[in-house]
Amino acid sequence: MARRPPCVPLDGDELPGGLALDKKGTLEAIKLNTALWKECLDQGGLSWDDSSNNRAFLAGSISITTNGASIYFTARDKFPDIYKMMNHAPHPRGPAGRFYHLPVHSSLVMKHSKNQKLAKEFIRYYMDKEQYTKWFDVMGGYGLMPTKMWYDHPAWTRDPKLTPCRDPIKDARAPGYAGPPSRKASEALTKYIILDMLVKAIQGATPEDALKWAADELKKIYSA
Amino acid sequence: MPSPAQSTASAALPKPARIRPAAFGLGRFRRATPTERREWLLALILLTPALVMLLLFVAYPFVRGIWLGLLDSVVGREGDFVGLQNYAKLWNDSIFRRAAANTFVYTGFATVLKLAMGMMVALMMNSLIGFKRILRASMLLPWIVPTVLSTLAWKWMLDPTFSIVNWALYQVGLIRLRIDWLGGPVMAMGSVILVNAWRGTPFFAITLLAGLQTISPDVYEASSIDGANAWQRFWKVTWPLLMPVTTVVMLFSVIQTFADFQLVYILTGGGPANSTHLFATYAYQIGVATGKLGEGAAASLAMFPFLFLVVLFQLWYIRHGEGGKGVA
Repeated sequence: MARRPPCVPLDGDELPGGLALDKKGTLEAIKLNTALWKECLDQGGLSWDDSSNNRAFLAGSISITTNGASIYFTARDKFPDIYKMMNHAPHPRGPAGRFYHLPVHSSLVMKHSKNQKLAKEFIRYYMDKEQYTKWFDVMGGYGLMPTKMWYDHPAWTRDPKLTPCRDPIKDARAPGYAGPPSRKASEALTKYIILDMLVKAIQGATPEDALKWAADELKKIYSA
Repeated sequence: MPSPAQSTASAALPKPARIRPAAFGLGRFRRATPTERREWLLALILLTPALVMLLLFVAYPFVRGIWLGLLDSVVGREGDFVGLQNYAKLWNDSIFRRAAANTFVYTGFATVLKLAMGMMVALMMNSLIGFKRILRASMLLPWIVPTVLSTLAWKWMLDPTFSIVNWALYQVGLIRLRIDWLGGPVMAMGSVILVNAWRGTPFFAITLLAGLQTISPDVYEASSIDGANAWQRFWKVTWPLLMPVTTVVMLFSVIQTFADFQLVYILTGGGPANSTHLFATYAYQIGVATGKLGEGAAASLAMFPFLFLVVLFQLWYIRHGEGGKGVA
């Protein structure tokens, strides 16, 4: 069993991002994560990169992992036995709810661009239903929907095993939640503060020390 | 024996000492003969491309980097002057302090390992009789293969699930549980040091081999006659005579290893839990991944004082130290 993006169930307080970390709920989450890691998860996971869990799953060394449907598609094409036996399900719900950290991609036009009008028209063109349908269809349940209107697209129900992949977007949170996504939130993300907090606890630090370290680092980032 | 006239003439001649840069002033140019002027002009023309390249690709980015380190620039915004605030922030950043300590550990251990292995390989190569060319060429492979490629291969070899190293150790019965080469802070640091040593050993070996071949066999013969055994011959003859080459190679290697980026970036990405970051990888993480250009520039410039000292020592050593006698 392997688990990739660690989602910390917070107490649900609507405090600005980062500062909400220093809570009892986070401490419980660290303890749970450490126990889960030691008892159920692949011990090699600390050195994994983005695709290690795909490889480990397809090699048969783990039986459950957090992932989009990429493993499923590879299994469909190359590992028929695994393909027949595998399925998707939502994350279990925590005390404060169910949360996903999903990467969001935005199409932006630079203010200094010389072709702003053309660039905007291009975005409008390819996001237009006529064009985007083809793209969405080809993704076949791997991509996330940009707006609610794609919820009823047949790509989600053509293969019932892919239908669970339709819903995580509802519980997705941007980095920095419960605060707004911001430069500071993305700094916390790229410095892996939350991830390091959990790893420190796995590597032997007390949950309290790991939490204190992360809270201090986040305070430094957010107070700058 | 020279005649009195000759010796007076040679005493009157200016010393063929070092050319002082100041001697090439404007006055000197005015007094020069047309041939000399033409030569200088040619020299200037030949030097210009290199000078332009240095100014464009070394001097400008360096000065720009220093300036950027004093701004609070982020991607898309020029930023305001904040003085040394970026450096103060880094000083309080626990990950940066860890990266700084890591860089010294990485450089220290890797350089010593490379020296030890390089010396062994050089000594073996020096005493080889057959297959010299093919062995020398194959020995250089780790150094010639692009680092990104070879490191990717190492990444596979140390993969937590598919490691061939673990597989081999398991098959011969040396381990029963797999070793997580890149999973813990100490193991991961050890692994990147080992891979760096593997990559850098050929550079040491080939340079030390060149040095070894300049040592006259007579010296060894004389020491053998005096009753020195192989161990004594190495420490009393080879090591001291090779010292100038060793020092220069070490200094070059320290500079390269200290500023290393590719190897750690590919093998661990600075992880797990930011435990194998070096100055360069962390500077990249702050500057490019996070988009805080000012802080990233400051983090990478933090390498500068140490590297500057190493370069100063290197220049001094080549000119005045032991290196002046043996290498220059």
